[in-house]
Amino acid sequence: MEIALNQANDASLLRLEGAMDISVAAELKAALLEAMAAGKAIRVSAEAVTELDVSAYQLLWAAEREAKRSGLPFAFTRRLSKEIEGLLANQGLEPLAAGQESAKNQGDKPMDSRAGS
Amino acid sequence: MKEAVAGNAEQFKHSFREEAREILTELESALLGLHENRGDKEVIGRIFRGLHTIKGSGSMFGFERMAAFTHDLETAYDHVRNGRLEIGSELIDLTLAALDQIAAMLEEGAEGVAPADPAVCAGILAGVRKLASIEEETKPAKKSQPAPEPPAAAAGPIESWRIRFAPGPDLMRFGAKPSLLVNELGQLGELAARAVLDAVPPLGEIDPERCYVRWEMELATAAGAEAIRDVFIFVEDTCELTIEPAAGAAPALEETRPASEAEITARALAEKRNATPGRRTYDTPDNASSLRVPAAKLDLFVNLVGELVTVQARLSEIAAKHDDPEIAAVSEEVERLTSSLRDNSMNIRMMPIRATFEKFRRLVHDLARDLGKNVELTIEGADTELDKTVIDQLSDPLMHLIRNSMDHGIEPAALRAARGKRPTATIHLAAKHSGASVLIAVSDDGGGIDAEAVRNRAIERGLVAAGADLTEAEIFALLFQPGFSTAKQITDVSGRGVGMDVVRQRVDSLRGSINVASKAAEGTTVTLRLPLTLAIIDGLLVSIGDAFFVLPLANVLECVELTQADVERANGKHIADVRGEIVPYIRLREHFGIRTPRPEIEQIMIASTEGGRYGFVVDKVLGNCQTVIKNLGRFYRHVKVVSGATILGDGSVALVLDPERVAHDAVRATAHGVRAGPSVAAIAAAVKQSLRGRSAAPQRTV
Repeated sequence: MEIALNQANDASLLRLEGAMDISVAAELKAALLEAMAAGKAIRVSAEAVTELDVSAYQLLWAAEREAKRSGLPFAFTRRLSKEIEGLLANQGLEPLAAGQESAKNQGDKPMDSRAGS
Repeated sequence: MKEAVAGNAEQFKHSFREEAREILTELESALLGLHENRGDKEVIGRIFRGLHTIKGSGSMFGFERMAAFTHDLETAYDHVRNGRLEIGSELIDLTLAALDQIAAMLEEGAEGVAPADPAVCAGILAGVRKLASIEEETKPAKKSQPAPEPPAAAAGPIESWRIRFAPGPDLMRFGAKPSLLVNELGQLGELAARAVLDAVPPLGEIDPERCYVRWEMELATAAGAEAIRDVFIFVEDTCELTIEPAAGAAPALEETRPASEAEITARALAEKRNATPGRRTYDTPDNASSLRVPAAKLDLFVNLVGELVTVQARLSEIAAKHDDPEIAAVSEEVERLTSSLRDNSMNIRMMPIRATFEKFRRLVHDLARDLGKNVELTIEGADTELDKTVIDQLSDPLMHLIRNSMDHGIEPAALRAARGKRPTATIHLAAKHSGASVLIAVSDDGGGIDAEAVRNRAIERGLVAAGADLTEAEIFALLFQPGFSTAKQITDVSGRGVGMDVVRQRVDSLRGSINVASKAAEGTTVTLRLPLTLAIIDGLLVSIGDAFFVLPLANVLECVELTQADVERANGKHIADVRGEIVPYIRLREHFGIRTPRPEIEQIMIASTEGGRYGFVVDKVLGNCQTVIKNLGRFYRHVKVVSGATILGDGSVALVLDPERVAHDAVRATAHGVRAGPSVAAIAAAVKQSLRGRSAAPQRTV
């Protein structure tokens, strides 16, 4: 799994890959806090996420809530897979970044990689 | 952090193992019960739910192989409870064999545990599948299908349930995934779930390992409240869980609007008042009703309490020497608290013997089948409590006694018929309290022990002289000699003469005694008398010269003086007249070879033993004492009259006597005209040495 945060001119780009569970939750929190602190739009690429458990979900959900309050756009560049979204829905967890247009793929390449394991 | 998570996951696995072991034991009992009453729907339901829980939770905690193996069994019992498959001996036996394999998978990697045998597992599964498909032609079970029962197939009408599930803060830390629980619930029927995130704090304040989400769900299922509760079985102690029938035919999640503060409070109060069995919350006392604690922690706790008792004795002694009311008051308070702490800590270790008894149902079932005998096991007093350490060591002796009864005690069917006995033989396990002891009896209604055969065999083996005059009890006691067996044939079950010796050794090590009663053609009862606890006893401290002894208070009936005049009146015989009753006494001074001069007036402690009342003559009775029993060193372990030693407040050693043994040895010594007792001075010196060595060693780091 990987959590990578890159800074583009107009956005913080967070790329998530693999299983997002309790073992990477602290790392995900740090990356989200850093993205919030940058004060730019937050764009998340989550297509390669293979599992998203409650620990990761509640972090992303809280980040989205705070981004909205601060007027920062929070959106997916690449949404979670249909399967993961289906699983979340079965658990009664509302979709993340719902109603947000998928942002353009701009700046989706790493610049300043902050890789996690 | 990952290590911490892994460590917690391991801890959670450990607690899953413990729970699963209990479920396996319950399953075994239920299956054996099914043998007798095959139509019992409730038992079948219990078996199904047990298997379902093992499978579901097993997969959740990483026991995937176990979960996959259990899947088809669960399907088979689903068919049984839906009337599609008839329960028969073959399925019961296959399931019992499967439970053994599941138990092996559960303990995989543990030292000394044989791993599950893939060939056996495959054989069991093939058998189960064959049986299940006899009734079920279009077998739907697919390996990847996690739950076998579509909601409509489950027994009973479809009902709607409202489930509120708030994971405890540590649930995820322990490796459990709330989402899996919600998914598993979904497999029971039609589920509408809503996650409530109002407790999620600002991002910066989130503890990443804590679960802030709770769920409100409505489930339409035919499975019933028990099945719903089973989904949460491993986490319910650490979560808030409410399961209640959904009111009327309200559509799922009609009430999803957020409840007002007043509504929430009113609802909570109402729930608290009418707490139903389907509810567990943090704030009810029910939630704290039990707690799993590793036995090692308990042992450490009891050891510490033991040491505290010793220190407190020293404090009391010092306080008595100083005429200072302030110190005396504190010392008395410490004594009161220590005594209360001691009693409570002893209580914590007390467990009912039920689980140990119940597991012999399987042994009796299997042995009856192997021996071609018809035997039922009856149990009495399963709620009798005794020290965990004692319970842990009881399994082996009881197993040997039961095997022996099954093999040698219970007659073949033809002989039973000829004797006019019931075709089904009975093995009866009973437990009850008797003073500071527990009596555990294994009885059978078999052929009884042939005392003459035992005697002849003992003479043959040179254990007794040919002309020896032995009482029946003495003859039966020979059965527990190493290598003794009267069995004409050695079978797989018993007859090698190993088992009974093991029984005696184990019972000895527990400071217990064995009594055998048997009547030819009627049956045998072996009774084990065991101490309630091994760690601390209430005793009476006495002295002879400069040696100290403790007599367990439970045995001591009264204390009378013995004057020189009394001795002369008895013409030198060791008997005392206690209010008209003649009581034989044993001079401990002589018994233990203590050479100090005798005082003018001695004290006789009258104690009850199995052989009747005996007096134990000592110099002085110093008073009550709470005694922490330390084992004798290995050099003196064979000294049976002394069951342990204790350190007194001033640092001297007192030996804890076993009145039964002392009386027994003294009677034998008188008969043979020898002094039986060991040298107490040597034992006390050795104990002192060994305890000093122990206390000098670095101790606890907690």
